[in-house]
Amino acid sequence: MELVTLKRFEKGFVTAGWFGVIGGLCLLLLLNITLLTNIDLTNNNFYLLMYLTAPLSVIALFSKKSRSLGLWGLSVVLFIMIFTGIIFIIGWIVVPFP
Amino acid sequence: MDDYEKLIASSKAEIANIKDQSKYQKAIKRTIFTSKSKLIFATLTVILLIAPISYMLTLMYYAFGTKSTTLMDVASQTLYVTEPNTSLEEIEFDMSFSPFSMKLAFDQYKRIGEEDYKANTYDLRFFLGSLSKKEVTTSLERVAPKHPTETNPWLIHPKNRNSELDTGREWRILGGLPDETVVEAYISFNDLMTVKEAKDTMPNVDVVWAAVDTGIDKTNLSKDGKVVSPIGYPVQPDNSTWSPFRDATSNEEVFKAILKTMEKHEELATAVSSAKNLALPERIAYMNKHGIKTYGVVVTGPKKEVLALEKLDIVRSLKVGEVKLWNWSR
Repeated sequence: MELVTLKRFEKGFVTAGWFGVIGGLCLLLLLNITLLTNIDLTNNNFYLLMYLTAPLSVIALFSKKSRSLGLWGLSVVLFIMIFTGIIFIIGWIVVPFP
Repeated sequence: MDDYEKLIASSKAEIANIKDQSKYQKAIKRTIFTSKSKLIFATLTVILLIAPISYMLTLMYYAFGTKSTTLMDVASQTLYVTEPNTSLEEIEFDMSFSPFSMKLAFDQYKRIGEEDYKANTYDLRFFLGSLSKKEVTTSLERVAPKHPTETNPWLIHPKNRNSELDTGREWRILGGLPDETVVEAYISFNDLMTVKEAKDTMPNVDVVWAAVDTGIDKTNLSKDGKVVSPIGYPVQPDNSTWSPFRDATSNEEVFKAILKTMEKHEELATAVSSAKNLALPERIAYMNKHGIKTYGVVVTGPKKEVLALEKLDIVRSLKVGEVKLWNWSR
């Protein structure tokens, strides 16, 4: 029964997965622009995009067909979180000013 | 026929028996489209990861490899000892990073009279550990020669008889300035002396920077025949927070320490300074053997007081530097 319900939503899961991946790519693009031009684009829209990408990717994990897409989106989000953390910590070492 | 061939044959038969071929074609097309878009998106992801990863590696390099603070310290300390009468405000240093490079921008100041005036703006770009671009925008009216030769430094060693400086003209320029001005002047001596002696003989002006005899200033050529420029150190106590001379019991000791640091990064120090060569090992060895003696100083004070120095026996030559309106309160 449950399997049948899941099957019915499969298309939805795949779509969510694709949106997750596209969201992740947009996040990466914003990050690239920020790094290459030194114009800070990691503002509210950035976090909004992140809060959209993460749940969409998690939804995509539920179906076997869209699992790879979900993992893809999630790893992008995870990468950005780790990146932000590392930059924050190393920033303290690299720039000596308060 | 093995299992595999059987499977292939049965699926071929199955395909041939399907009545609605278009539905089948559609499914194949959709699969091809999905896999193509997956490939495109994967490529995009990889491409977009290049910049963040290289940025992260760059920051790691500046944190654990050649430290950004080392580069900054070498750059600022080099300027203190190679550019006469200058100081920096390190707190106002602008440091930014992009993949594989670091940018360091800051202002340099000169003491003229009792106040500091902005002299130069530096824009240094590093490619990892080496200086790749140096841009200096000057706000000075009298700029030291851009391409140093063995005859054009403003401070001259007593034994150097080979100078382009026209001292008579400089004294006349100084004499013609209004009395309400303060002047920065480069004074060279007839003999070597300690910095304290120099200060004691000129009590009415501020001695701000002293050029140190390093053995090769007689000719301004190093042992292997390369052009060098004067080096020296700030004489006044400097209590600005980020100055290397802050709370120093003796500026002379700090000077020696700075030279040792610079020696370790001589290539970078040479690139940052306006000198062509620093020849540090040779000069440090000479100073350790003969002690620190000065042959010329930069002084600042009211025009009248600087002009009065002409009567001193020890003064050999003069070069007038920056001139500003009165700001002397003593």
